[in-house]
Amino acid sequence: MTQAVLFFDAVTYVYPQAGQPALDGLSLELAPAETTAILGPNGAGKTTLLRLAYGRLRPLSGRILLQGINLADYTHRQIAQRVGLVPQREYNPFEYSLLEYALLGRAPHLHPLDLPGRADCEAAEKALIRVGLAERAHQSIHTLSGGEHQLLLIARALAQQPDVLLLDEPTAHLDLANKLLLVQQLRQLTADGVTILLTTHDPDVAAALADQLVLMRSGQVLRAGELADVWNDADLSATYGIPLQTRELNGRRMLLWDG
Amino acid sequence: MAPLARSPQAARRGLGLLTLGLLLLLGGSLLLGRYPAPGFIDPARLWDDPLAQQLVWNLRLPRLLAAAVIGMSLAAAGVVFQMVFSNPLVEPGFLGVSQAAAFGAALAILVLGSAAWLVQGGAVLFGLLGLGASYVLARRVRYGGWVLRLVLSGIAISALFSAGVGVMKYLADPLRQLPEITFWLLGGLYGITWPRFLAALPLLLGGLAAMLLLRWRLNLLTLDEDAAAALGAPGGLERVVVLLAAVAATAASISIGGLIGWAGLITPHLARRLFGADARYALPGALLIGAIYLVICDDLARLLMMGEIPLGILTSLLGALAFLILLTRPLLQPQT
Repeated sequence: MTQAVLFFDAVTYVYPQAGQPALDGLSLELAPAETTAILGPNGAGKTTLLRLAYGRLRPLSGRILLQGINLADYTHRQIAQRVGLVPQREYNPFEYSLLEYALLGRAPHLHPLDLPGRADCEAAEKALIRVGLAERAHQSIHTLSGGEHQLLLIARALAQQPDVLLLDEPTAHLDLANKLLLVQQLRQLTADGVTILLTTHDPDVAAALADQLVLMRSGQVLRAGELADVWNDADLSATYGIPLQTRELNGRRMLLWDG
Repeated sequence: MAPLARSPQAARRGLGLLTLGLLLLLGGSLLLGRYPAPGFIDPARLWDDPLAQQLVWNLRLPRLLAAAVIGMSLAAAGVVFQMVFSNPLVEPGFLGVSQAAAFGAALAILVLGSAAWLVQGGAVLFGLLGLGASYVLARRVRYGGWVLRLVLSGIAISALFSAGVGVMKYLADPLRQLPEITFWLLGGLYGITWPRFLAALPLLLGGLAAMLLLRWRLNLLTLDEDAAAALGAPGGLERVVVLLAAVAATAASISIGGLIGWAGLITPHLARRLFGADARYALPGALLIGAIYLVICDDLARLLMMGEIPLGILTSLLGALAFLILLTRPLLQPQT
């Protein structure tokens, strides 16, 4: 078996002043160049899991291995050279151009006193091309719609050239066309060898992308495994606590709910 | 709105032009004054009139250089504050730094005597204290968004320290100490001499250099803490370093020029309009614009009327007017 790129080993995390642990002895393995999607209700601990994965939070117990080395042994900069984050939403009051904003993704590769050079600009431009925003590289970020802004955040993370890409509900603000664009982009990234971990409230997106599907509830993994094994009525219903039915149409997986 | 300089080349040309403008302005201002008559002095006079020589080299030159460096410091501190607090409508004066620094300077004059380094030390120490107090208070306020909380806390802390300055004035010896304290409150560069200017210069230049060196990283600090951490810049250290540099430069400015209000607010806006939001170009741009702005204000302060107009009054008047315009412009509405 190939070594896991990211390995959560019995990780527990409790927020200060919270009684319940946000993550409770969670174990999870990400195989290289695969997509892992996490489904779960609000408060399941999905975002906490991501915050642990890029070293923003340190586990209370258990450990996280990045490429076989304990995450605690990396500096923030070293983690950022390997792990990129696409936050769910972000507002910046300054009118950066798209290119300037994407260029910020180069930060972990630059010494704090360095200015970005030609190669960095090229990486940022390439990232903008990938998400289809290259033509607007010199426009202000305030001209973007919610969905386009999401794509820009992805471009920034791509400029970071990470081995692991974390996405926090990447489709939350996207219309159907942009959702399709995103799904295609993420497939292309795994084909290029990037390992992806995403949280979502959108079962369609999880079903369309995931190699591994993880169902979370109350800080614990209810079920994790290959998509085909985990995608069933019983486990999905247990995750959300309401009756759900899986269906297949033209080879596409869908989830139905009463209403 | 797209900046005027659309490419790095254009930005560099713009910075070059501003530098040239500043140098010409400094040269012109050196010859401008009320001796022997209001207006420009004849350069030929500098050869044979000892009084003119004395005036130009020992009074006007240090004063002009101080105006330029203080303008740079206040503008740079404005850029840093706006970026670190992710709010285009703050400047050191809003967050308690200026009033606290003035209090520190007054306290030093009252208790420790008016040695330059003591006054500066007092200004820096209390400037930091004021900023820290505003920040901690803003974290504890349970009302409104982050921007609103920050501004409210800044108002409260400023009020506290200006009350403290009031106490200092009341306690001060009306003949020796009170004039000196009053000078801080109104702001002005007429008291600048070479020794005074040179004493503050290391702190001013040190602060400026630190801000300039970290100018690209400043952009990261405008992101929220999670995003910045994911790019390898987790909150703490870098924010503290640039804020320290900004407060040091501001407090050093205040210690030799008094309270020069509002200069740090508009210049960053102008710089962003010219050079875009990226501090790689906006920060040096703001520095140059700040220097030009303050030299012009100081020229007006010393020439507009027979007696001097305190510089702080002029900058506050112009700054507050510009702030009103900014507030009512739709594109710059602050969002919380």
